[in-house]
Amino acid sequence: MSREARATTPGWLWIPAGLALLLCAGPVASLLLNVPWTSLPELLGTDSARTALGLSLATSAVSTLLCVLLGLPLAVLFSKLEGPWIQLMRGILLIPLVLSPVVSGIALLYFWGREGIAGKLLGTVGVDVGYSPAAVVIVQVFVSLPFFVVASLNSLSTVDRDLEMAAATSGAGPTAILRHITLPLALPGIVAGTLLAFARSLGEYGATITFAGSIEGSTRTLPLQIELSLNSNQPQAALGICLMLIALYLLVLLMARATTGRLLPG
Amino acid sequence: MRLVLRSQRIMAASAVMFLTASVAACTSPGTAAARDAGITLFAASSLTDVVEDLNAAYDGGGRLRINVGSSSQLVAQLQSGAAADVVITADLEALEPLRTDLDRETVLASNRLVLALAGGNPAGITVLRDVAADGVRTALCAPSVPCGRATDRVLQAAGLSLTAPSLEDSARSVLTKVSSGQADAGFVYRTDALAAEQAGVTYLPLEDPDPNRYPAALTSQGAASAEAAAFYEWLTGPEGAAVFAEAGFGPADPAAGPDTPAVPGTADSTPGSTDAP
Repeated sequence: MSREARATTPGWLWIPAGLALLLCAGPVASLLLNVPWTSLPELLGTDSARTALGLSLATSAVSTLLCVLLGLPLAVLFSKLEGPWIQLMRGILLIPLVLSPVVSGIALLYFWGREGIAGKLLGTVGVDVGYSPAAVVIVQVFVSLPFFVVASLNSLSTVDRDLEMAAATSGAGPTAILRHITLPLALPGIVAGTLLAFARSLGEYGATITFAGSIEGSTRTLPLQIELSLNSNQPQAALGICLMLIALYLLVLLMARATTGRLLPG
Repeated sequence: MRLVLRSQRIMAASAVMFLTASVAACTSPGTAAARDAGITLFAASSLTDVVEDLNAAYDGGGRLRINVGSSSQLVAQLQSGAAADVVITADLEALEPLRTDLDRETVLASNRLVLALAGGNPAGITVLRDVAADGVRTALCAPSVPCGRATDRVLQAAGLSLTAPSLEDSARSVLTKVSSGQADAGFVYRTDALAAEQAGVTYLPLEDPDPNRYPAALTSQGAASAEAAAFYEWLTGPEGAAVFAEAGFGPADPAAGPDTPAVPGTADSTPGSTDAP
């Protein structure tokens, strides 16, 4: 701690701060202590674990791509426009962030389910999204999109308006400005948002089990496989897959650090 | 500037939520059953409605503190230190890991597995082997929970195997998949199918070689409480049996007699009478 920091930071802050660290790190540390390290290779080599890993990575990748394709235009609009309607839309977009996963599952069911508004419509043209990897992607986009939009918006809002205006007065069109000025300047936030969306998709559990079911190779992602192993009296297998998931998160956080220079975007 | 600040705040909140979500994916639900007063009852999810009735009927009502879950979840919770006075599981096997810590156990009722069909029977299922057809979405319990064991038993007896069923963690999760129309058909207990009648759920009766028997057990902790022991006596007596019979459960010895008649019009409906379009 530098001298200035010591002079202006009360020492007693360490007491609640230490407690906060313990609350977060304690459970994760005891999880790691219980992982059966020696039997890990065979636990992770099982067909069900590998199928779940493949499905999780594939669905999360597709969801993340959709989040970028759909979320980036939204974030750009949100960053440029002001007014009560934009405020309202931004509020609506944040809803999945605060919804309980099971509520999200029910909401998705009423919209995309067989009896739901969009589900019925799709059903009439012969498309059935339920119980398939498409259902998993729908759930993941629903929960991850807000993360992506908020992170990109954060970054887009810091782009210097004068710079964009200078380009416009020099004759550049709006798309060219977006492509060559706005997006490159906002890139760190967009990358961070992409990684956050990927991580959130990987971890999605509650809405998936409610809406997409748990079908091996089709909708049973890593978190669902963990729950199934746990309920099947195979806590060792569950812990092994937990570790798999944690390793993936670490990878994502390291990538975030490498690309944005910070461990957590903020 | 205001906007930036706000979104930073939101960003911080979302980072926190992201971390919570990732940790939550790896934790099991814990039950810290505080023991202040009353009787703690752990019951299998297929008893969700029955335990409410029991709670209303016993000693003026409201004496029970109820925890409902799949039998294997309940047993895991008890093994990791949750406190219960009385436990009811959906089959005898589920209680096995707890047997050293039980004071007494009695079989309360029996239940048969049926094939619940979504409202309007979208897959047009009329006999059991229809569920093995292509494109039929089925939900069933994971093999580690009692209704999953029962489903395995029935499918084996019929010589069927299903491709890509959704494995759920309890009978009630299967029922939800069927009543919401996400699954065309699901294997649940007859009492579950009856409970979802209002959602348009019908069912096919199945040949079950060995219907589930529901044991109630008084834990050693429960035996130490006069209150809990009195409830256990009531539960295993004629009044408890009446509540189970009322909900459509069979007698404790499934070979002793036919199931009690169900709600008129739906009682063991023949395949033809399901309201298929």
